[in-house]
Amino acid sequence: MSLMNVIETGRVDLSEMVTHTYALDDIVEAYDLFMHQRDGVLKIAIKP
Amino acid sequence: MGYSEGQRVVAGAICPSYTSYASQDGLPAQDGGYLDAGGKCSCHGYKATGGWRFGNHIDGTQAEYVLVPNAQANLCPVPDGLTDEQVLMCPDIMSTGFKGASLIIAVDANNERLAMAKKLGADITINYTEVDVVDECD
Repeated sequence: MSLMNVIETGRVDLSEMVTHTYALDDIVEAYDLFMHQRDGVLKIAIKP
Repeated sequence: MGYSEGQRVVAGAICPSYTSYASQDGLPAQDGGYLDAGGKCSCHGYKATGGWRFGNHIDGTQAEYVLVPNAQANLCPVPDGLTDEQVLMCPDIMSTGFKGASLIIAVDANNERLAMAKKLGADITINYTEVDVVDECD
């Protein structure tokens, strides 16, 4: 079974691991947040 | 499978050339065919982490544009109904974790991360700042 299928059928939803979202232009801030593990960060999504 | 401009896709963190014997034998993570100069397919592969190119042989994937090697084999279309966040863990975390492990032990220093790992299916969680991981696994 493909991973896309695993997600589509709702067997797992890992989107809650994404705790923060930053624009690509602000990626340095994102690295700083992650490096210091502030604000309960787990995963950061970077959007172009 | 073909791809069209503007289509939403994910690219695996491991992106083999699929030209090595290792790849053809079902071990694309141990690829290495691309390591030969001149594009010759004389490499047998079976190199540990041979298929790992992004962040290894290829820098700069946090960018507006990324050139994906051997893209026909290394891209996967994202179905329209799914969000970016839902598929964000596909290229690495999911492809590692869903490969059929029967016992999943999550190791971290951060208890919030361990709680999330437990919630998402880890059998055992170990905080390495609190206990000796090797002793615990014994």
